[in-house]
Amino acid sequence: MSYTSLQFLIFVVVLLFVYYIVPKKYRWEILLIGNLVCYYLMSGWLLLFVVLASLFSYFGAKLIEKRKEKRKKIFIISLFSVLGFLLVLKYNNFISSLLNPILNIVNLNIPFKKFILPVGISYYTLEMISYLADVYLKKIKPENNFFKLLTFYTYFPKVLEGPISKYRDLSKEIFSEHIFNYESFRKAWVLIGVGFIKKLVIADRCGLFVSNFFLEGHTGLLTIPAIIFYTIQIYFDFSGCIDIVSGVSELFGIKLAENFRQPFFSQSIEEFWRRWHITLGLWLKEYVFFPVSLSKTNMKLNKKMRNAKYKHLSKFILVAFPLFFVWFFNGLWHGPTLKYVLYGLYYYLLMMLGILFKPVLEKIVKILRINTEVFSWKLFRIIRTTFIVCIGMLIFRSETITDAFNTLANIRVMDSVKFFELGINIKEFVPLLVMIFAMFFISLAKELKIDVREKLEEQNLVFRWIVYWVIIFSVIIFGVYGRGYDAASFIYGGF
Amino acid sequence: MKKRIFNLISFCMFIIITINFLYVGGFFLAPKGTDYDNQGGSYTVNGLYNLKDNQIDVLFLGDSSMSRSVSPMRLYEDTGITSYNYSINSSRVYMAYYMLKDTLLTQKPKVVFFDTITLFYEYREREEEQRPSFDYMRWSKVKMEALNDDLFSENFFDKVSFVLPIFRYHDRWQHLGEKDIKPLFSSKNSITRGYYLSGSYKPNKRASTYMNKNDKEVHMLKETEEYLYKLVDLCKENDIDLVFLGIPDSLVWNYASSKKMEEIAEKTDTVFLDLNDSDKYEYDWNTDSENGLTHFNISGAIKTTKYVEDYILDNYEFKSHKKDPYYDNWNKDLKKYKKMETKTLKELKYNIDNNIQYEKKKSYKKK
Amino acid sequence: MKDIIEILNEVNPGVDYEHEEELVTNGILTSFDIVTLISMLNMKFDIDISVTDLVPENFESAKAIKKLVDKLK
Repeated sequence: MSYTSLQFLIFVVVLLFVYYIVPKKYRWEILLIGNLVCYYLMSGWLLLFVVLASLFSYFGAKLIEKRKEKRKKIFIISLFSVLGFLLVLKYNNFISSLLNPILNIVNLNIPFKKFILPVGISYYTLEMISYLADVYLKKIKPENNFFKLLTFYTYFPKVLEGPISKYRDLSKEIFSEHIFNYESFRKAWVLIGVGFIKKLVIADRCGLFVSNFFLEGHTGLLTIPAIIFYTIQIYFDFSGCIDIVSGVSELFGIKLAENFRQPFFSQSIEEFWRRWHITLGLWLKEYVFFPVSLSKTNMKLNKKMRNAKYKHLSKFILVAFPLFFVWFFNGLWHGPTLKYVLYGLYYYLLMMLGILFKPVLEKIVKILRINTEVFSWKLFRIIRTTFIVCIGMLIFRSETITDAFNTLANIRVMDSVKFFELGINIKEFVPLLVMIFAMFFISLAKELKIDVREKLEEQNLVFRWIVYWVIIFSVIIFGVYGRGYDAASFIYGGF
Repeated sequence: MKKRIFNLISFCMFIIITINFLYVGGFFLAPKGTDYDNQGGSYTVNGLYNLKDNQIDVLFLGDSSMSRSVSPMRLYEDTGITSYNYSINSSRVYMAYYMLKDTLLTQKPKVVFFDTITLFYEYREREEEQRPSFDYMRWSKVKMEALNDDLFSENFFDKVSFVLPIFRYHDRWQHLGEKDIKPLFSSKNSITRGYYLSGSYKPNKRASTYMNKNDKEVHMLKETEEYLYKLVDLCKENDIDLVFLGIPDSLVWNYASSKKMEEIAEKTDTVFLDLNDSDKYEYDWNTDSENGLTHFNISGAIKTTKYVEDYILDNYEFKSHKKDPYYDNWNKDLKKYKKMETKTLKELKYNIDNNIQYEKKKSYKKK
Repeated sequence: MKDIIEILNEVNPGVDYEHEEELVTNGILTSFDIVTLISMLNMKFDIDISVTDLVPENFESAKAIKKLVDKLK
């Protein structure tokens, strides 16, 4: 059951109805039932995995609080018990590919096995780690009601593709009393509608010709627009999904964390990863970057280097060391293969080069008398960042790093196909471009701090209705669904 | 409190208007008939609804073959008996069943002729079988019954697209043309009463041999059999005489088919009028075939209509409606029909005289 | 307090650390800055600022930082 399916929409409407009929204090319990039903519809009996992991995190947290003397040990055990599911089910082959060379020497071998993953395991495992860590670091008290914790982990709008939420934040939203508000209700549907446009009209339409280009191994100059449209596809697929689920969550009066903030206005890689998949970046910052950077190891290393008079280098290593782990895990989280690790390290390398050469580049800019406050400079930085991201997306899409290189090398080879032979014709391309531009203008407005949805809400009924109908009919008429299409399932949904 | 009521009302209004837009939008985007101008598909269906209640004495049911074989207006001209050629391309017996059931809500034909050609088909063209007629069927308990029938959907979303066709045809925005918009605003009257006028010809070389004795076996699909019996029962329940009409088809019909059909006719106590029997029924296979294999043109239709007419006159006593003011629209339309028929006959003569034979896939030059 | 402001200026120069009260919330100190800051504070005052102390309130102003440092001494 995907988030753009009719079944899901019906599920939401039915659940909404029950939710608002029931007295306020029981609403979260209805949500729990809804979550479990939805999870079962998506993943069947694999539901038991998330329940089991939730139990581990529940008891782990309670024990950390109770047993003051052994809290560190308990924390580590609970951490691995929860992480264990992910490692065994998803990363088993990655781990065995690292261990087998050694094991083979003593005639042992871990066989290759691909398991079906419980839906959202990559997401909820991070949430469980964050919950345990927050209890361990005394940022929150452990939750006494197991069912509240379970409601949080299985919360159906975020279970498939995030956003990666923190118990300390989202629990306040879920368990506070919600009164039905018609204006928020309308606003939420607008967000859902826009999400559908992003996913069904833009992303899936790009998918029609982009996948053909790559699957058929085409070459030539068309590689460039193929990569660009792939990047567009991933962005609108993921952010469209997030819009849909955020809107659905808002229907219930619960605000999910922001996950995208007009990422293609970023002027640097650092900024990009603060605007793209925001909750992943925040998770890595709080639970990898800071712990590693403030660890005794890192601090000692820094001290040693300073004392050895490598002042600048020590400052660099101070962040470079923890950042390695950040990017390593960012890459690895996206997929259990070497390619994904290299995907992360691609950004790491560029970031490190950026930090190392910062003084040099600043000097060059000064000498060339480049004005860094003007629009043209910012535009240059935006384009540069977008270029870097597109290459990153190419790596993300390719089977191996070599494939990515080959694809780029093949730009110089003769064109093997024409653009409109890839699966889309000129007529279909027009609404695609129109919608992309429409989304661009909405993003621009948001970047200029205009709350577009709020402004829409303020308008009069006729205008609002016309906008609603434009959204609804754009999705219904231009959406890629129905016979003759293989609807692309969410790209981030295999996690 | 006032605000709440206003909100509730405006919300409901929004939903209702949206559904209406969806419903109407579906008709803009749906294909209207087949490739032909003013004929087939939606024209045939709408044409029958357009008639006044209880105007039909005889009904013809079938697929593209039947649609080109019997001209209700010729029958009316000769005898004053009113009929309708309710045939849709690719239709199958289960569609005929539902279409008849739906027709019985407003009409009371005494005789129903059913074209037997598709009974031994083993291949399915699901959408083509259903959509051209189902999309234009009016909402009634018959349509609801059909919708619940598993033949109409593979999943829930399919069923939704039958209720709101816009979900099936939304992609056609790219292909919209005049022929998609014009029918919505033009007259729903079918002057030919569902009959398709064809002025093309191609000599049929197989005509003399396709009915030779053979050892072949023909099969009816289970669902075909099921709905055939349903059709038979439906006619019995409504006091209608069902007649199986075997329209000559050198492509899909043969000796074994006729043999099997005779068996079925006996089993169901139904008359089988087999026009494939060349001893009894004469055709000029050089000029009567539209495409050299399957369909009749106007010349073949004139003969077929005559044979059917003879059968009706031999077995029934229908009163002519020509002087009945309730059937005024028939007299008016007959005049228009004669003009169309003359034009088509001229076209056929021209083609024959100049040896311009039918070519597949090319649309006719509309004069 | 003065030495803390001195360290802050070394980490991220050009800010009025005497009066700024929202160093973290306003993004004046990035995560990199905070880590650098902490390492320098650790070395200067021979303390051990750990992850548990890493709450925004402790770093919003020079005053808050001083409070943290004093607590850990």
